Amino acid sequence: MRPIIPWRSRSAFLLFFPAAAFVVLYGVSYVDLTTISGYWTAVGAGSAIFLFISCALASVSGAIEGARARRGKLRRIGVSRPYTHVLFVQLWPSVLVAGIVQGLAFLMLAQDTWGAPGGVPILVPVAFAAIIFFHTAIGYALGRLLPLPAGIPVALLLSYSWLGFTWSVNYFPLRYLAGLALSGCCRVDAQLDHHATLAALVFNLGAGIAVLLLTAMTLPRLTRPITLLAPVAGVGLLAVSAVVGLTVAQSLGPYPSQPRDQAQLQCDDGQPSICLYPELDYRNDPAVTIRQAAANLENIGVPVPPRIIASGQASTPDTLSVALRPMMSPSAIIYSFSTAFLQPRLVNNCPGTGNADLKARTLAAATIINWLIIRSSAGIVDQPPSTRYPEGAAPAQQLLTLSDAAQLDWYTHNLAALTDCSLTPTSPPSS
Amino acid sequence: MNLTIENATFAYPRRGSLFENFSLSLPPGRTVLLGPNGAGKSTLLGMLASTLKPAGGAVALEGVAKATRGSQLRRYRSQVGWLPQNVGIFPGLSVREHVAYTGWLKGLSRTDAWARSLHAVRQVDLSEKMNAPAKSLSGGQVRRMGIAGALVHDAQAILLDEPTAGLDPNQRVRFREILTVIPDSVVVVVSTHQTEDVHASYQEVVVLGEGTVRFQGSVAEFAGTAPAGVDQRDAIAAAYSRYVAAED
Repeated sequence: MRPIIPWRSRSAFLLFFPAAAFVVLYGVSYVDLTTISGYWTAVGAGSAIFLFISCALASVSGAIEGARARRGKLRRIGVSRPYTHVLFVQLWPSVLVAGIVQGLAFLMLAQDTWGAPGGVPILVPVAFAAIIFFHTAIGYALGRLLPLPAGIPVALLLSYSWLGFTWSVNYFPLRYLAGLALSGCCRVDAQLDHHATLAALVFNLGAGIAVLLLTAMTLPRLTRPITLLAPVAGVGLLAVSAVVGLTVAQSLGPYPSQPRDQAQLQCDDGQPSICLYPELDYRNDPAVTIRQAAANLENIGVPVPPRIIASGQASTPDTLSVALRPMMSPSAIIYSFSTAFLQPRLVNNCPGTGNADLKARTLAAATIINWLIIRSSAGIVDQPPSTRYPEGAAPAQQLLTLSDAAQLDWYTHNLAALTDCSLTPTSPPSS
Repeated sequence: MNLTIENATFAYPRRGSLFENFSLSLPPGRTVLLGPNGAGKSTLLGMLASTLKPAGGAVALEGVAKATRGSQLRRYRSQVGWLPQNVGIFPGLSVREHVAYTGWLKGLSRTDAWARSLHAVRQVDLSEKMNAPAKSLSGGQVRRMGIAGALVHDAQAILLDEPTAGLDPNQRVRFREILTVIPDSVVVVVSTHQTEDVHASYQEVVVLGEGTVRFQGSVAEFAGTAPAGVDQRDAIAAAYSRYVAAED
């Protein structure tokens, strides 16, 4: 059936191509897939970073539709259709096409995630739709109020400023109203805090409706006397949406994530027992590498906790928390596994000691990490992964010249010395 | 059915009251609304079209709907065809699409709006421009497109505010022909300054002045109010001059 407003004059369809090209260019140039691939929650929430493109499209095409209504003097026609119906016909292409652009961004981010278990939390796309709707409404209102040459740049500026400005303020709940902050979610051991998506959804939906209500109720000023009730209702809805959104997001910090429920960990029966999230082993099984690395250390007497879990939290005597992500290489797994032994052992700045003491403890920590990596990677990778602590490389090599027992003694003493100021870290002795 | 406005009061912000307890009943057939500038013709038509809301009183198409609010207002508007003085142009639409969109806004289905737009465009002699961008039309053509928009949905009442402004003589003749093919059961109200066509085109005359009805009656009755001795051909203009002069 023929559309009542022809496709060719729908700005959203024309804007799709530059927006899609921008998504591809930005994605290829700036987005690092390694931190999100394999975990649908991260892919879905991470695509929020592309909102600045889809919302720009929404606001500009909304402004053009608003200008169409303005120049057509829609208010003076005596429209007999419900206002919501007319608005829907005017604005659905803007929301739909911006949604497609957002979907394209999601597909780009998901290219390495197909086949992974789980899915994107349903609230994420719903929140994105609400955000796009709000930006469309803002653009439409500006198009109704301003001449098009002013309406388009103002709509773009407002859309971009709202997304970017809120992301940089230190009052965290405000960030979640705009929605771009959703892109801060999540490592595989974290899950999206639904307060973040709910706050974005509630605010953007309510504010979008409020903006359209205000547009509808205040524009007839010239032709129909307006009652006070209508603008009060619009402003009231805007205020309520903001307050509810901020309240919902009140508990959130700078990232929209919370530790993932450990009940979702799947543990094997091995010794030690290795517990992973399902997303971690759908392509390559890190448990194989971890078990071999643990065996390498146990063989020389390094105590390995009876339980190894995928987690970014601090390790405990009973549980080694290894920070993992899907599709890690064996080298990266060994690195995470080895550094986990030092959590939460941080180099102490012992009272009354000077820089020399701190330097010695830092060197001991660097040496321990290098040594653990070398010892645990035996038989797994040809070349142990390089570390971010190169100053420990030479002492670690020195340590390797000792007998296994001497290496273990040094390790045990110095690991304890990292957090115990009564112990003095030592350099690896010469063989 | 009559198109009525009862006890209406209307004032523009920061200006004096234009209408106070104003009442008028317009019968089916073609009525010309005459009056000097500022008499309130456009405001009256705006109230009848329900795009201007009187502070008090009621507007209704008797037996069909009242111009109140909600579904009642929508029903009323769907039965009123309306050409405002300044016709807006929806950018990006062709002439026919523009007329069809207006019909859709007036309640026609998409299919009906598109089908009827062809007839409406032909009625106003814009067939050749049918697929041209609406924004490429001249001032006179835009008014004809607006007339097509008022005719497209077969309304029970058609309100045309200065429809012949900017039309050349041939187009005015064509406009007269259009008026005559509208069924007599439809209330047609046309505001104009031009009295030349009154005899040939209208059945009823309303003269408005300072927010009040100065005259309402048949064209013959109106001609009869002309000063004695005025030639029959000039009777309408003379009668109108009499009312306008009284206004001044």
